[in-house]
Amino acid sequence: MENAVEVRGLRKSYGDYEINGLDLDIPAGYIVGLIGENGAGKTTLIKCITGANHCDSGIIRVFGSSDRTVLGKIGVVFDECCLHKMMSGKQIGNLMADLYPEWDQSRYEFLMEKFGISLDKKVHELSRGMSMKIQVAVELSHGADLVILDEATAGMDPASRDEFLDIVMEYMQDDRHSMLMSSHITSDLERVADYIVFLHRGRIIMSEPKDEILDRYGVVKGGEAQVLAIGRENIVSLRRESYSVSALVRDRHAVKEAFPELTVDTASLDDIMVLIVRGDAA
Amino acid sequence: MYIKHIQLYTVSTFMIERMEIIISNSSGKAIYEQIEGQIRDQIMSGVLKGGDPLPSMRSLAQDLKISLITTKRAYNELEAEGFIVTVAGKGCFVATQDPALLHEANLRMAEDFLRRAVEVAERGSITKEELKEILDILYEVD
Repeated sequence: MENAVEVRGLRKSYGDYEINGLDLDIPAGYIVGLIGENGAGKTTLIKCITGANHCDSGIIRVFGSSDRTVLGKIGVVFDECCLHKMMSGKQIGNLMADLYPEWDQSRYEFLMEKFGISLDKKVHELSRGMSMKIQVAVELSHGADLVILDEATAGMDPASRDEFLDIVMEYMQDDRHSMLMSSHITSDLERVADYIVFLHRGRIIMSEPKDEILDRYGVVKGGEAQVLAIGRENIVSLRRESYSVSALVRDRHAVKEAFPELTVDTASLDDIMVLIVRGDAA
Repeated sequence: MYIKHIQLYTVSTFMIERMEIIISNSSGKAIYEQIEGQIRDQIMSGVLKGGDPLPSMRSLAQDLKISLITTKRAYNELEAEGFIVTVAGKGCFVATQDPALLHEANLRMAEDFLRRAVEVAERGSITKEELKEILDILYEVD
């Protein structure tokens, strides 16, 4: 399988904080969902891929090339609106038409209409969610083969996020298109992401097809002795709560089979994050 | 880019008229199993017939707003079971079902359900005669 992005041995440090020896693939034609607590390094990683940050060492190849000429084929939306506040949707379109050789004005207008944003409105007149939508419309209209969305759904209401996911899936109909999407709203990623990468304190601790994660991982709940009886080798992390202990297990089907008396629930991405970030390693 | 989208859309709405897939988040079944099961049921019941085109994996993923890997897995399983065929460059189609094989598959399914009925009967001390009586009544009502 071809990869749109290959990151090998990425190192980047800022004072006490660092990404050390990170490897990541974004397979062409697929959506990779990036999750992790605040400060885990998601934005740093994204900035290194897009060339906004220089990495200390490591290789980053985008569409097979490590020079910067391909960066124009990347669309990126950060969680803060970087468009000029006094510009209207129409003016932004004109500006982008001059910036990008493959600018598709009709597509931009189509997306703006879908998002329900008037081209006459200025950026400062829009809510946070709406200004994120303008950025998404821009980045999906300049012929990018890789779109990176960093918390792009922040500030969007559930109906807008649904609309946004429609547009994401429509973009992905072209099998040359790939996407990296970071979001704290993991239910969105649970739907559309093909792969999930979990970044924790600058390291990737999980990188697997989403279906396998949701199918295999589970949460076991019970008394401490009862939960520990399943064996520490089966437990990813453990969290002690007031009345019970919760453990994240790698293979809930096997645990359920071996210990039928235990309560074994499915684990959502949120459950996995909370148990790993706030729990103790087993 | 647009035209392509519109064409895909027409194909999928055309399919939706005949094929129905309902994804539940609380059924406890994996999404690929839900898709696989529902398409299989519609093939076995004759709603989908041999040669009927199926939406591409990408457009099905788009319409259901789910991962491409999920739709791929559902189609792969259906193909392995002989319910659908992939024609390179043309897409996926419902495989022509051999009536004898289809009958066999339905028979197996009926047997499975009956086996469960027998299990319940044994647990609840229902006699074989009583069970047959229920079957007769069900046939009369239908």
